[in-house]
Amino acid sequence: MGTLEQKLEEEIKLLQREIKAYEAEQEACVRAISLQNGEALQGLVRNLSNKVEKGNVMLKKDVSKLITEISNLEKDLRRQTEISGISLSECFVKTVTKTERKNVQQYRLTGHCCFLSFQAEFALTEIQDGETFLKKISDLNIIVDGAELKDLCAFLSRVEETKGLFLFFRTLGSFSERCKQRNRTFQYFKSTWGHRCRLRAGSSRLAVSFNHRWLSFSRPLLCSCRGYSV
Amino acid sequence: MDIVRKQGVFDHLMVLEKAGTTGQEKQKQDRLDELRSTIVTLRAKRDRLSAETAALKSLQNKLDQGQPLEVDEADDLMQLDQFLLKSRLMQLKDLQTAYHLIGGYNLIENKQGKSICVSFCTAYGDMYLETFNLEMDLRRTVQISRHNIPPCIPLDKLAKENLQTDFKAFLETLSLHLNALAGRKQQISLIKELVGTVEVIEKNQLCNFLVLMCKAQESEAAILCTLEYSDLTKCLPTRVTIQSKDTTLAESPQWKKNQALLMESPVHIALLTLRKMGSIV
Repeated sequence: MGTLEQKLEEEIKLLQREIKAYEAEQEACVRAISLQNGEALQGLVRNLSNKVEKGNVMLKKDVSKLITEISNLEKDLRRQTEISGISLSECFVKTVTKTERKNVQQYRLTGHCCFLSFQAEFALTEIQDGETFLKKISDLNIIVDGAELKDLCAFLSRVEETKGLFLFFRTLGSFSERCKQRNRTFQYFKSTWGHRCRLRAGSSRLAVSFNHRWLSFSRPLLCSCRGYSV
Repeated sequence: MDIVRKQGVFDHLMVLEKAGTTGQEKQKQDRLDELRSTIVTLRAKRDRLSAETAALKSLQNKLDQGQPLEVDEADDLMQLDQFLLKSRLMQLKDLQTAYHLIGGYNLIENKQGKSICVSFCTAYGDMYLETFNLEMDLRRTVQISRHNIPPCIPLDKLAKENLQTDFKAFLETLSLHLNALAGRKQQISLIKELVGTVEVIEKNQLCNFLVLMCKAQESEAAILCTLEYSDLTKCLPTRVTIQSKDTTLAESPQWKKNQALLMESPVHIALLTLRKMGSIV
């Protein structure tokens, strides 16, 4: 009898493994579809919810639940983009390893923050070991448009070293915020002083020259992303 | 009488024995039935998933070949449309996770816009640490209704400063505070993990006051390093004092340098450097 019981238990384990494999396959498939057809999918959802609003279609309960969930998430993400100033245009996620203990996912994020566009790649490892739960970043690689900004480059290599993803995005936010302010300042000077001001070196330096009978000087206005520490 | 009694006991024992074995057998049978019914359920689930996966794959192939996405006009939506909706949902969920990882917080609206839930994640270096949640009531003025922010974080003060006027600034400063606290805590556990010879004698809840005891390598004199972090949004101390019974040692140029090092780098890294340089055991 014991052997029959064992046999049945083994079959259960096998079935559970098969189910997990199918689930993983579906997840990968669903992600691939969404990555390839992002805009079309958005259209599809809009189309469906319009129809529902007009009362043209009666949807099955689980379909309408899905649509509600989607529109709620869309709303949350719009607010998130607005508040954080970071806009993600692409999010590629691939599950590398998935066991009960360990979960490794590869991320590739593309987006922009103000006028600076970026791409960040990293692996996220989650390990559940009894009571302890570990979640860490590795293989971080960041590319930012605006490599001519020297300060930014030095900062980037430090971030890649310390793997401080947070720090990077927080700094990117305030950096682009300052760039915006600087641009406003420049526009102000330009409208007030006209030809006397010019931008130097990748728009990171603004010089205004003043000429007076007794006085003549050129004052550079600088702004940089230094001054942040881990 | 005796015989009857004997027989009676004997019979009784037999009955008990029989009942015992059937009880065991019944238990076994129940267990087997349970396993069999689990197998039936799992098989059904596997078959459903297998069919779904096949359908999903053919949909993916269709899309890869450039066939357009179409909403089925029939009242009863096809399964494929459900897959497409699931794809969109997955995409959005991934984006939400990504925002959590890079931005430090997620905003989730609930109760039809009456309240908003913010979930803050904290990280130090490559490690993600604790997550904290805050629920805000949006009905009249913005008000914090529930949260699990540690009591040592000056939440009321931060809320007074920015909550009504600049929501973004409020979230940013709170996130900075939470991250700095998590970072200082993590530094302390890294000291215990990496520099076991240094003893953490005193620390407070905010982890912004820290007394460490280490031993000088040459004289073996005990040295107390007191670190104060007056900027609660940072993981670097604003004041470091060195004390020792051996006053000449504490005031030596070497320890002046060590003091500067403790000011400039995260405490566990500074201590590792001091040990490597041979200043402490």
